[in-house]
Amino acid sequence: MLWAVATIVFVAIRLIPGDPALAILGGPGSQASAEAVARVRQDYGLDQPVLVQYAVFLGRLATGHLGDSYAFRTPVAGLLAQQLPVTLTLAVAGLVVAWVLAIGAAWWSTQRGRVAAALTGAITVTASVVPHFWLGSVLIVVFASGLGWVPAVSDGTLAGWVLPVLTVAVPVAGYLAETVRDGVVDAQRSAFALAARGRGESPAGLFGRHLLRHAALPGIALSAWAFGSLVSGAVVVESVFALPGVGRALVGAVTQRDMPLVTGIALVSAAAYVVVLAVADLVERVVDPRGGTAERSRDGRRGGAPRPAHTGAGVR
Amino acid sequence: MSGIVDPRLPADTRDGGRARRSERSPGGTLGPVGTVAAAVVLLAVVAAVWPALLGGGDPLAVHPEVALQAPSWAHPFGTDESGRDVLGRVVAGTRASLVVGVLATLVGGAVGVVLGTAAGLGGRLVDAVVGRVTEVAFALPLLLVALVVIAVTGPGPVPATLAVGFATAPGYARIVRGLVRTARRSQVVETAVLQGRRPALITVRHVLPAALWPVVAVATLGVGQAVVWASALSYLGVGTPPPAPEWGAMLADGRTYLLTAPWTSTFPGLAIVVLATSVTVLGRAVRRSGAVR
Amino acid sequence: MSVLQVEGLTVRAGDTTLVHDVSFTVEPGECVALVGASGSGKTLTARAVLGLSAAGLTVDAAALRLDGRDVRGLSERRWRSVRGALVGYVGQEALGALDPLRPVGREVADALRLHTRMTAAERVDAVRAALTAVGLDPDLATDGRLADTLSGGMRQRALIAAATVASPALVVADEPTTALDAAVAVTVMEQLRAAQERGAGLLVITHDLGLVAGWADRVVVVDGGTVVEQGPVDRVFAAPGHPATEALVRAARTGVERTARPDDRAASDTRDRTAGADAPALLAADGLCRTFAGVPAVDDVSLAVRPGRVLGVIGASGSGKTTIARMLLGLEDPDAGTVTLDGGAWAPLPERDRRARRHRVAAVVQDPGATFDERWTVERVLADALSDGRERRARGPLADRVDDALRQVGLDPALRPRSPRTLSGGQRQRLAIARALATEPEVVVLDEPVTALDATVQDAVLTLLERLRDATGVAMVFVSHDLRAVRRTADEVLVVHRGRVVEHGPAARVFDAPEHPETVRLLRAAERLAAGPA
Repeated sequence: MLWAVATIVFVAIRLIPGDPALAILGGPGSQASAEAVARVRQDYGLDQPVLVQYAVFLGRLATGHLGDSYAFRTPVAGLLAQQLPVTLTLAVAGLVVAWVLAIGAAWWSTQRGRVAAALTGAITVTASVVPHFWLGSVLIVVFASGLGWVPAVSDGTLAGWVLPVLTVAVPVAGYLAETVRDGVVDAQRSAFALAARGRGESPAGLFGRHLLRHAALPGIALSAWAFGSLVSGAVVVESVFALPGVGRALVGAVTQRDMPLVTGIALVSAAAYVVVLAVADLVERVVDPRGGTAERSRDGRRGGAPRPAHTGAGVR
Repeated sequence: MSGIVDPRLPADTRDGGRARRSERSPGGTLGPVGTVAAAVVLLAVVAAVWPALLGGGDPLAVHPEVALQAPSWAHPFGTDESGRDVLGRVVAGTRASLVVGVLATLVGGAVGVVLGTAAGLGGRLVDAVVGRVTEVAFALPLLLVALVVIAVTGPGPVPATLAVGFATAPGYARIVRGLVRTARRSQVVETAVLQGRRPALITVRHVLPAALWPVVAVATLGVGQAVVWASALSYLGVGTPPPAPEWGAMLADGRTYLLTAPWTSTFPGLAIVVLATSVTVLGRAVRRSGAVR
Repeated sequence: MSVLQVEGLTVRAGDTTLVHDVSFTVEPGECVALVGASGSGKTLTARAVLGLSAAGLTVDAAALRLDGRDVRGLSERRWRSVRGALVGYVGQEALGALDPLRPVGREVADALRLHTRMTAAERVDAVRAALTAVGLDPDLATDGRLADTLSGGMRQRALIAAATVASPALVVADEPTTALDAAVAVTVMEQLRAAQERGAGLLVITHDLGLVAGWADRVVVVDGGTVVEQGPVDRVFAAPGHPATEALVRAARTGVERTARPDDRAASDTRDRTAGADAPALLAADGLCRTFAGVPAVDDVSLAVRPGRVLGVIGASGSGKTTIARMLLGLEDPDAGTVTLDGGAWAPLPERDRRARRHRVAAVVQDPGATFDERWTVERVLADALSDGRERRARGPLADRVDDALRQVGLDPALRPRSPRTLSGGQRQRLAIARALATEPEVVVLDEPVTALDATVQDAVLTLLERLRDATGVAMVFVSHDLRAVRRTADEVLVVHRGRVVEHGPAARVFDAPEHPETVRLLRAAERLAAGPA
């Protein structure tokens, strides 16, 4: 999969108009002499046929060489090592906060009566389509400038993270809340919920011990798929809050055809996604220890056994 | 390219597409909330088609002498840093957002449906190939892909549409594939086989309708998302180029004046939220009224 | 003091009265059966007794006492202290009533955790005792096993343990044996009986009078939301006073007495069950084998279906009967062995080679609802079936054929514009039978066709099948774990156990003089279930 990503990036970058050699020399506005351009071409192997370049590219990647950024003249690996943690922290923290908000919203919309349900529903729908960049600005105006509770831009302290994380989390929380709420409502109608209530289980106990686990399952898979969206959100949010993450570098890297940097970012994102998928799978197994169940949110693999519906009790 | 199209179906498209009785609005109508949403969307469509009808000054007319004025009777939404009437720009910007949002969803939906149907109906090889493609697509963040697309083609509404469309396609593909495969294994299909119907007939009559109608439901939610992402691209400077009015771009411009002239950001931002929310709510209300299953 | 006292119970949904003026009592150590057809209001009554009525329903009663305690108008909070402690509930959906994501041991311990002050260690001991009492492994209390590792019967027993672990005064069991085969059903009833013998009152809700004839002390018959008759079970059985009760008794007797007294046949059954026994096989299977994940589900099964005869295939749940049926229909390919139709190859075969002959074989399944495309009407279902998939609407002569088909299965032609999903279970099954017979097949394979239906409806549908069989001369393969149903209709019987055929012969012989121990076991279980505790 990483190979596929790398190839796509290679192809995509080649499609971008503009001469990479010029980019290396300082961007399209630089007045480089023809000689300088030619020399750069040779140095960077840009005069070789495409396939050779591709092979060299893959070869370097395989050995862990991400190369040097054209624009910054420093190793990509180094740049990413500096910037990536910020972005990833933002994304992960955002996901965690989103889950907390989502569970809270699910509780409010299912356990507290119709008014609360309607209100929470309205909030989650709106939250799921709120643009990051706008929300960030609003939060800055209200909480930083207005109330002065937290700093407006990141200043290295923990408080400086509050607004960015919240901004990233809210849209995802909106989506997750919808999913978890639907799951809770579904589980409420199940036979085991009735049986639990028949034993005298309280609503809180029912929610925490039974419903939540079932409702969370689809949300876990959704979190994995949404991780890329989180990273995109983080990219936008970084520019709003002036966080030194990958996002800010990304826009420039693409517009400047800084291939090594773009490749590096793409590969790291893909790798992160693979990791996140694996983690989501693990978490899913912890929440749902059943083996090979048809309820798996990813492609439901069918076991070999025929439909048990015909024999009522489903004895096996 | 994981623009967040929920690969899961909304709850009320399961159970054969009938909304739960408690959630169904009376008599096939949209309900109070749905009606409000419908009105807003209608307003947006009018704004897109005939902006002059809704008032506001010329969105492009520059009057530096009245720059950054707070909302007043003359300028209900205030003016921006070039003295342009914010209300006029917000109204004019509706077209870009609505068009990109709807078209991007159509593109994404179409591509997704084609891929998903191929994966669902085809044999293991086709399914595996499409599966790998969508996996890779999911792995790349939307913005990365969008930026690359736009770097290749240059900025503008068309590239933005395509970028968002391609970014959301994998989500649709996944849903459709799941639906098609479930439908293929259903008892309805089994019964048709027992009755001796030919595979092509079964697919057209039973599998495709069961798989494709729910996509319409998902797509209505997708339009809201698409509107937001389109604005995000403009915000980053790679969508509709200036000086054309576009909400995301207006937000980007307004950032500098966030504390001194917040109205330059507030109203475009509100417009995005209101339009996206209304489309989403309207989509849900239509589904619940049973008109589309 | 009665364990349960209900007087003048009324349940309303807005302006509609669903349950009207229901009164009955349950004494300690007594088993009362609340019997009625689907929709008669029995489940609503049971839920009201537990305070678990759905939202939007209003419940009124002149008196409603649990173990002497007035529970009318109790707040939800108070109800929670009552449920599980004073009254235990065993629901009707055994498959889903245990939380699939929670260890079974914890589910069983819940009532203790909620209502007693026992320490964790004490709870474990109590749960172990409860599990042993229902015949389950006591280690289940602590080994973290989930519900899907237990069979259907074991799950139902675990549910009973969970409901009785806190020794409630009243146990309410809602359809506790639905869809379970006789052997498993007997163990479930025995567990409930054990709770009863410990002094609890038992309220069993069911549609099957035959089930409770042997186990209940008193019967309360519900129809149309009111109590139409109540009294000691023997008296009600012997001399039913109300038409609804008569229907229930008739349905029950058909099963009970046939199994117990095989000579007692209904006067209309003059069929010669030996006719055609030597004709060449229409549908024949030879050495069928099928393995799932290393476990053989079907092992060397051979059978022959002859024209105009009914072959019954019986066996416990999980014995492989359904897999055999699916292989006969060509829905699954056998790993080994063949199926032939009238001498020609039928399975394993590519579907395109079978398609032309599909009209000769039809199928009726347990739950027909899922087989109807939700967008189709009754009219389209039959028009499609009668025109080999060509027509959507029934016009002209086709319309007459559709109406005839509906009448033939006892459905009113006025149902044509309706969606099958709005029909009752019995009506849906009749429609499915009409669809199956539309192509005038030579063989119909029926897999548990009446198991999911009410007892009275079962009776009606079986009568319909018998009538159709006689009218059209179609051959049938009747697969079921319900011996009563097979006994009525089959000429020959095949007994399946763990995927193998253990007995085969004329129905009369197999039921009267079974040879294989497994057959004996199945028959005994059915008798026990009908007769009651030893």
